[in-house]
Amino acid sequence: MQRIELRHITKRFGKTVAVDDVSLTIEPGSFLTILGPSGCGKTTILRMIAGLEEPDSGEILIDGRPVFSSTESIVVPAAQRGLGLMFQSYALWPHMTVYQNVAFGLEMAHMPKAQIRQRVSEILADLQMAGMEDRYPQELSGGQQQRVALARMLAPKPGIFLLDEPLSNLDARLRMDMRSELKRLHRDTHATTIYVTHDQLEALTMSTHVAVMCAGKLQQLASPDEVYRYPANLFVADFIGSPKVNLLEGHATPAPGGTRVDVGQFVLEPLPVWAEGPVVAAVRPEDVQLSAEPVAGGVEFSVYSVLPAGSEAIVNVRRGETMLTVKVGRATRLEMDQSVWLTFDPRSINLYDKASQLLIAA
Amino acid sequence: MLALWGLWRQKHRAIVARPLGAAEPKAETAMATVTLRRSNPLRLRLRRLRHVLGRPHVALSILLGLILLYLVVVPLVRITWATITWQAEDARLARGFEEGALTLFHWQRTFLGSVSRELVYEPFVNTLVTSAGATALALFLGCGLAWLLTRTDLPGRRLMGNLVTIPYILPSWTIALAWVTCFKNSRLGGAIGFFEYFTGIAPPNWLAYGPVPIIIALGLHYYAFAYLLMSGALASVDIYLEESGEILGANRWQILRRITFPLVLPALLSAFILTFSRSMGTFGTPLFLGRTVGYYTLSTSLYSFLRQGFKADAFILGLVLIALSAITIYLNQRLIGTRKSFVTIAGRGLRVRETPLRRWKYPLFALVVLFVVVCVLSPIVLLVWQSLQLNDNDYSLGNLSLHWWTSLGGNRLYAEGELGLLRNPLVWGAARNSLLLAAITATVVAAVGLLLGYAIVKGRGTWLAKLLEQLAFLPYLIPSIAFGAVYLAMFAQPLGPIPALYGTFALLVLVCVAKNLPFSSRAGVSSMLQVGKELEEAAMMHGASWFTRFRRIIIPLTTGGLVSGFLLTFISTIRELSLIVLLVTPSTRVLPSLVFRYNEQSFTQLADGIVVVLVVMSLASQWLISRVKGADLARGLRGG
Repeated sequence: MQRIELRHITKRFGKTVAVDDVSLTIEPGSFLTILGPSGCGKTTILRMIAGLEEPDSGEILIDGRPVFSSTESIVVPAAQRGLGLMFQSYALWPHMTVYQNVAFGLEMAHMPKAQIRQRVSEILADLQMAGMEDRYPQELSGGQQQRVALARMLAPKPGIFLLDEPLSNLDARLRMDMRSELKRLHRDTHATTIYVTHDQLEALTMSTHVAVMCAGKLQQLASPDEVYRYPANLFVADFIGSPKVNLLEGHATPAPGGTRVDVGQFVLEPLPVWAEGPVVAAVRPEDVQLSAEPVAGGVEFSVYSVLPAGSEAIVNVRRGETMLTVKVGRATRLEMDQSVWLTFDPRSINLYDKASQLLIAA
Repeated sequence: MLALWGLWRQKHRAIVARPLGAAEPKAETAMATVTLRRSNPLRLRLRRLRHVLGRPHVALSILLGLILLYLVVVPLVRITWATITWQAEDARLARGFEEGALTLFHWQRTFLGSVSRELVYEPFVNTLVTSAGATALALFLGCGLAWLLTRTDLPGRRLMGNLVTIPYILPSWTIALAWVTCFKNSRLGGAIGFFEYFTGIAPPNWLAYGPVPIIIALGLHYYAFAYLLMSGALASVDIYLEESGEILGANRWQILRRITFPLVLPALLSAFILTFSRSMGTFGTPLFLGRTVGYYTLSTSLYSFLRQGFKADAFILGLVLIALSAITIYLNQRLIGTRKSFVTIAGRGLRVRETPLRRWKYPLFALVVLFVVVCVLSPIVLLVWQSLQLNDNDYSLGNLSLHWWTSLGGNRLYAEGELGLLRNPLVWGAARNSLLLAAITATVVAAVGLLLGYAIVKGRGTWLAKLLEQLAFLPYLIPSIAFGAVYLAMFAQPLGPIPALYGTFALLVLVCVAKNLPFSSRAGVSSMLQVGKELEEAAMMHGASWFTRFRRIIIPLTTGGLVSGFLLTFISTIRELSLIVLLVTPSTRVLPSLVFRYNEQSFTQLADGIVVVLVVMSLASQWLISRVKGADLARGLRGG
């Protein structure tokens, strides 16, 4: 089974802790995205699974077989872990042709020449790269280089795909195309896939699981939907979502039907959770209802700026020192400084404990 | 894509049958309880050790570290030890000592003895004077030429640019020999030179020998460092940086002083240090131009100490030279500090500003041409001419002869019957040794440089890699003549399993390899950085062994650097004298040491003839270098 298991993995580079006691299990056949800002340790995790980097402590198991263990001094070489890695830079060998690049892994596996030829041309044809065999990487476009890198990874038929920001060097259009192709590839092969990116859109659109990392620590491991709807802590809430979530500091007191949160300029209630004391309320911009006319229970704000973005518009509104971001449909026409009335759906608000930064569960 | 995965899906379906992400709880608990069996501690420790040592770059680092320790550190320790213990040869000067016992005798004798003044202090001052003078001259010439040939509209800049680097390609003492040929006077007995022959005026001693000609001869050789480094730096100052200054209202002089100069300062300091430390350690020029009038520098004094059998005193002078050189380099690094990276700011394809010279254009052009003719070409012409004179210093046409090149020998009137150069087995043997030495050294150095680069880059951030880098840099601190002395001390007796190497060809190779390591390891590091670690890791992922990765990925990608490194070492080794003069014996004679011998015997034409041969060989190798893509002299200087 292509299950990957990390147990208490820690990795330091000099004094900095790149990966801090991370444990996670990647189910067979799943598509896990490791998401986080640059320098959060996500690439390091990928490289440790690949066998290019050694953790300082912890264990890594593939199919229940330890490929790394600090206590038992087990280090299985990269090539014997049965996985394929695609580098962010592609790392295509510039002195080899496309054919030689793709055939390399098969040669190393001592596959007969004729079979290599057949397999390489098969895989290049499938990736729409037929006829490019004799080109050198420098003679290819970015998208073509990417396909060669993919072909090289796939050629030896690894059971696990490791992809390190594979789309970051492509332009926006090509990136869209490749996303759907990679998703399709995963569906067709069922290979356990680990995908590293700092692009939350990629994470949310492609994966079955998302692992959010920050400063070497695993923040949350859940489905994309859950990560978006119920971020486990304030970092995840703040990191996921564009435009950013509104975070309102306030004080919670018990109230009939749940909790009442006073955020200074106005009051949110009743929230269907139990909390008391200093809290932070997180409201997604699309979960706020905006009306140009006064409505019952609406809180009056004034429009600070309007940023139309085609199908929708991002509106920044202000009340006293409090600034909120709201997403509205394009039909709404607003002027700066005009008054608007906001209403909040208590069920869509997540409440976080201010001290621990953790989500207060319903 | 679908078709491609058909077969494979069949194969894997049994394993990966569950819907994506939905884990069976049962299987999960079963997997979660997998715990590793504990092995016994001893086997564990062995496994750990084998694993650490089994990493190729660690094993390689340790191996290379040991070799460097042996080639560089151990000799330094031994030489120091020799200066503070009683030596067998001290029996001439003192009695009642036990050989090998600790003593400050040598240090006292060297610094406080009756001969200290002539043999230590004066040479020390002379070394500083000649090195400082030569450096000043070299920087002036180098910077001036660099500016004229890269940043102005002077005509014929390409050709001039090639011609002015010739002195760097030639042996450093070529100009010294040509100088003697030109300016030697009849006052010290002996024959008259070119100058006196044609003008009838005997050049004064201060012009013929001593500090003035040494400074000029060294300056005319080493200005090439300043020229190569400065023209590289000047060419990489982006025009926009200067234009921004211009827009803000700076005039041409202010731009030069406030913008351009600070940007090229690191290159200037590098040129300074390179010139100064090389001048200090050089041997040939001060010997040919100073000895006749008893003008000694530390390097020639060291040589005469050794000649007289005062090994410990010679070693002390060597240590003084090393200290002097280390201090200069340390000061330089303090000065440059973080500015080192200025020169590399600009990318490729930037525009360079050409200053119009207007009415100075042709006068300056004439000056540069004159410089090339007088200082670059005429020394070579003069040496060729002299090698064609039957009687020394008779510049009449009737005296021209191929005697020294082709004679069958036997005529006692001419150089005691030495054979002509082209028939002389001594010359052929030396030429063979020279080529062999240069080729073997260059091959070993290129290979070791690459391995060092690999080990250092792969181990980046570990103390082992840092140590290795420092060790490889150490020979840079040791002036050539002192390095030779160190090796003499080290390998005169057997050391552990290694037999006494003195008098063997292997010793020459060893010393040349060690001395060239700082440059080659830097070149290796920069080649490896260019290759980047991911290209090797990609091969690792596919199961390529270390050897395969080296053969199929790393070597093909570093070929350009390897070949240019090979040729640069080849050139610098083929003309090397300072480094090996203390170590050659009749059977391991090379061309430069043969020049030295003929010069001592006053077989001037033979000496000059060999210099001409060396010049031809050097120029030919340089031409070869220019054929190799991406290789150039300046790159070799910067070590990458």
